[in-house]
Amino acid sequence: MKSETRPRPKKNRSKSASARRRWWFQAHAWIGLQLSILLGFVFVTGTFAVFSHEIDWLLEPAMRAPVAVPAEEIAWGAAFDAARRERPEAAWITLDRPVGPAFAVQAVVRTTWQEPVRLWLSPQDGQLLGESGWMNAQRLLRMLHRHLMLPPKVGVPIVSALALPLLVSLVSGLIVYRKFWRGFFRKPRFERRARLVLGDLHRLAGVWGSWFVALIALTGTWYLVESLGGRAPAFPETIPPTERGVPVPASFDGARLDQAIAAARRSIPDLVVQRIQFPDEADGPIVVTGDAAAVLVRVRANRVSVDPVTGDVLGRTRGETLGLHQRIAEAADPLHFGTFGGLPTKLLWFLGGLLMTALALTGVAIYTERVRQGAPARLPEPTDDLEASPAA
Amino acid sequence: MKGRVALWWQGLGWLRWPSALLVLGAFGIALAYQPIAPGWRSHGVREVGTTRVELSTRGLLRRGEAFDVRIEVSSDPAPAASRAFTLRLEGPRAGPIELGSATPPFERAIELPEARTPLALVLSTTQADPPQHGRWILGRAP
Repeated sequence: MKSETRPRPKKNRSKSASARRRWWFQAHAWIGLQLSILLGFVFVTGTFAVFSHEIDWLLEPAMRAPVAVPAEEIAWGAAFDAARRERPEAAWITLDRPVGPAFAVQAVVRTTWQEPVRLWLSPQDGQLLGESGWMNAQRLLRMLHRHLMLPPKVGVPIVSALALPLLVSLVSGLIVYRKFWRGFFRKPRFERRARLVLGDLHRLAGVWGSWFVALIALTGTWYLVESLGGRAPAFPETIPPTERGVPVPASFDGARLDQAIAAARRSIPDLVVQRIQFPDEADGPIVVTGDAAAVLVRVRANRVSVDPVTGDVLGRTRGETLGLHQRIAEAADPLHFGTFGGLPTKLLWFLGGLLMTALALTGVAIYTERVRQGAPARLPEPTDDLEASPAA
Repeated sequence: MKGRVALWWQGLGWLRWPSALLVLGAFGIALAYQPIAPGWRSHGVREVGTTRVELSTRGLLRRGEAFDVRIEVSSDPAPAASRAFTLRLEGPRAGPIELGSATPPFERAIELPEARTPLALVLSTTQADPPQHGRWILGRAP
């Protein structure tokens, strides 16, 4: 009796599983097609943004350092003096360590007409190598990718909201592609018709790129949370610096900057200075930031605030002392940008970006190929293509 | 290829226009982008003879390119007057500025930066004897 009633529920279960799979497929296809313009644009700009500094290095001769210098031996003070001689009237914003061994030190200052300007300086002796405007490939790609050139308050939520359909697309793709773990080494069937070849390439790129899609979607979701008010708490307040009339006193020179950096290094002995941030108001400190022991944090997580008048250390923060919320916020950028492991991770992230772009393109190509072959212009039903083996 | 693009565009549905608008808009803004806010930037007040003159500029100061200048003049008992005009960063050039009968006429000149000198804008009264000058250092133009 019992054995007679078993087949029916099994058939129902199978029908129900098939319907669920169809639903996931429809979701996957709808997202891929309807959002193809925005996702494709964000993927392409994000991919090239990985190497945006290198693109600028190729385009701007002043960015090329004559000699590579270890980070600990950069002539910060001489660079400050040279930049100040060139732009004595300008307000200081930042002084940055070279992005790579062949790069120059970058000083960013603001002119009296409020234009940010970049000055490029030799890391060996601080000699001025040249000057360039604020807008470059890095800025352009960042602003296009991050907020579509819109005001960040509007653009960041729009772009980061794409992380949610991206997550759904990833999950649905893995559900629809049954036994996807077998697909890592499945050769595309190049001898078959275009639609099958495109499907094979789409699935191959999908399984290899799935970890990267997950990473980008999760960090993107975090950016959405941040843009909607979920920002991590601010770093601890420091002791107020000495009162003065201007953000950076006229007496502050390269020698004083070197003293401030030395004080910062005494405060955090393993600090490898990356950025010196100058105050924009008369009551702000000079903030020396950089890499230290904590992994997967932005350079600002290791920071020492220094009084620009007395040179005293006013406060410090180490990456490893931050709370969980702050650590998540700090980890998002290195994970999203792929900068935490130097050139190897940047290369990997660039390849990941190409894979994501390929997924968007092949997904669209599958759709157009299908419609071209006479199928109706609505979203297709899942077919056996999705689980096809090379032998099929 | 053209046919495939058309098929894709037709299949996009209602999101096609908002998406295209955002992307094309991004390109458009990128082309027109200026890294500074579009408003006026005051460079301070100078006494030129018996007249107080405030000078403001708008836009990037780039060699060979035009930028907007506004001067606001006030002198007791004359009422305040204001005049905006466009200058091009090439020179040396001078020219008169008429602000009406209530305020004295001015001559303006641009000092372009040399090896170690900054960009400056000079206004001189043409009525005073000897002539009085107001000089605004605008910084070093690229």
